[in-house]
Amino acid sequence: MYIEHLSLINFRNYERLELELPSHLMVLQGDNAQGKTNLLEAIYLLATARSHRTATERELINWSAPREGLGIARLLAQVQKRGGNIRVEIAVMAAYPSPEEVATAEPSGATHVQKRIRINGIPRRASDLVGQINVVLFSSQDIDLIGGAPSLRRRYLDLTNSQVNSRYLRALQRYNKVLLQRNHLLRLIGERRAAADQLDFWDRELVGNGSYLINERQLMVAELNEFALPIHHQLTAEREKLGITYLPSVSVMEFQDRLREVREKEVALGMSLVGPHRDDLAFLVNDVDMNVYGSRGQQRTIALSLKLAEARFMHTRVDDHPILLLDDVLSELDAARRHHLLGSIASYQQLVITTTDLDRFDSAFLAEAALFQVSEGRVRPL
Amino acid sequence: MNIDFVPTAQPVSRLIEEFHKLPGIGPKTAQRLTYFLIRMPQEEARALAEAILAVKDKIILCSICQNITDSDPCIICCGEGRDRTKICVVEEPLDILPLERTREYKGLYHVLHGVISPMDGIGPDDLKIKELLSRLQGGEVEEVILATNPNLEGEATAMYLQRLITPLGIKMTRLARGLPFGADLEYADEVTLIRALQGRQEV
Ligand SMILES: [Zn+2]
Repeated sequence: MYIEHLSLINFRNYERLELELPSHLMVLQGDNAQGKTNLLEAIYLLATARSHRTATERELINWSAPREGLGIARLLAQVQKRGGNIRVEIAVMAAYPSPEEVATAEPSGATHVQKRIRINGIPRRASDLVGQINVVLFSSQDIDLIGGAPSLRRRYLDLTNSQVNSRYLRALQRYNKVLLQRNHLLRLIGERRAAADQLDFWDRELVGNGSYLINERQLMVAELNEFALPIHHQLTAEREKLGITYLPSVSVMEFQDRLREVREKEVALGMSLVGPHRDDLAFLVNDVDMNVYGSRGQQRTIALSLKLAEARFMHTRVDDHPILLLDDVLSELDAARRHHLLGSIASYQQLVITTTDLDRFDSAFLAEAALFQVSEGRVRPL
Repeated sequence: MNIDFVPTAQPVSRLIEEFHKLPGIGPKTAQRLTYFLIRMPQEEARALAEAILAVKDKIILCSICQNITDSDPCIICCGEGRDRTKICVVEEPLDILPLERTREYKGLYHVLHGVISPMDGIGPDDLKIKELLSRLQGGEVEEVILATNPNLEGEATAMYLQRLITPLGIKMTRLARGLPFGADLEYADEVTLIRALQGRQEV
């Protein structure tokens, strides 16, 4: 699949952008803070309904734009894909807090945003959007997947699975709601304000939805592992044998029993202690855990292998090319790895690569690419 | 609350704030309604204010089905030709309207006034469940139709009721899943509802 047209209005530093995107290779060159990453973020948002970089989505809206539609960012992509072309639109607008939110004074502070999503002109929910456009984003923060906290790896499992399986996303949303309700109920039981037998329903939902998530994560990690092994082997000149292992907090078979075992502790703590919300992922190189013992260089290379494996995984699952977004990742790689990376992704249908410096690429690669310059929220062909 | 707005007379901003407390009314709509009322003839404004007060003064809950009513028992509970062997359990008074519009269902209702939701601090004791159980003691009721919404909280409530009522040996059914996923009763169209009623399954 590939995006043939992108239009942005009042999005970040883009007051108005209408851009025809070439299929295959697109290189965006520009200094820092000119809008390169914003453009990749827009594509990522159109694919996943969320930004990969900001917690306060209000920042997505360009508030200084002195034109009509102030306070609303609009994103639109025309996409060519197998089985028909689609048009995806998202409007991000500031939402006023409801009176209940004002009353409970959520400490979030900033005004919420609302997203209106349309697919081919028809209003849809975010869960209908995810998976319509498949993207794999390579960014300098990928290294945190290896060296960072488990929550980042769970988020990664969820985002990747959701992109290829809409049922996964629905199960995840339901699981998260169950978790929220169940934790409140555990607290109420601990305070003797609710009876313990009320847990039955929420336990059943936790185990049912949780088991589905565990199974799907298991399958995905097994596939990723298989793709990543030869990629990583090659990236490390055959020195490192990479193993990606899924570490579920509980097995599907034992879920029910474990829940019974920890019941008292859960009530005492007022939170759910077993289930996929406590899962993790391990990256082993020659059987050594890279989360703890990996050097920065090793972790960076593993992240790259993981992302390349993810692209293969997605391609296999959806039977169409995902769009690859590379956000200034080349500067961190040595010449050999850079060369290997560019070689192994060149066959994808659409690649959007940002860089501050065109010298990172060899001339043969550049000859194939459509070059653009990004400057102050404008994109011009070079 | 902070509304971005040109300074206004205190009664005006007070009314805007009151409107803003209502469900589905944002600050812009609250302003628009307020300025509409300012231009309204005195008598009409008075009639509106009186209608609001009358709702609060005269509307009570039916002592049998807990639906809102101005006479007790309500017209459905008193109705001739209602099938007294069936009780359809709904979350809110509003849920009765679409079911009545189908003309398919002739039984009685029971309004729970909410659903089990631990995060909102709502448990079974906060709902009109005791009142439902006492209605089932008479031996007249043969079927309880659980028409809570097909979301987590609605299902949690249905399961809780199921556990309480099953020992009484009364047939229990749930509306068929013709309802779109996550769709509330309040918004279901009549054809879909008739199908959901006809296809209701024993639980
Ligand atoms: Zn009544």
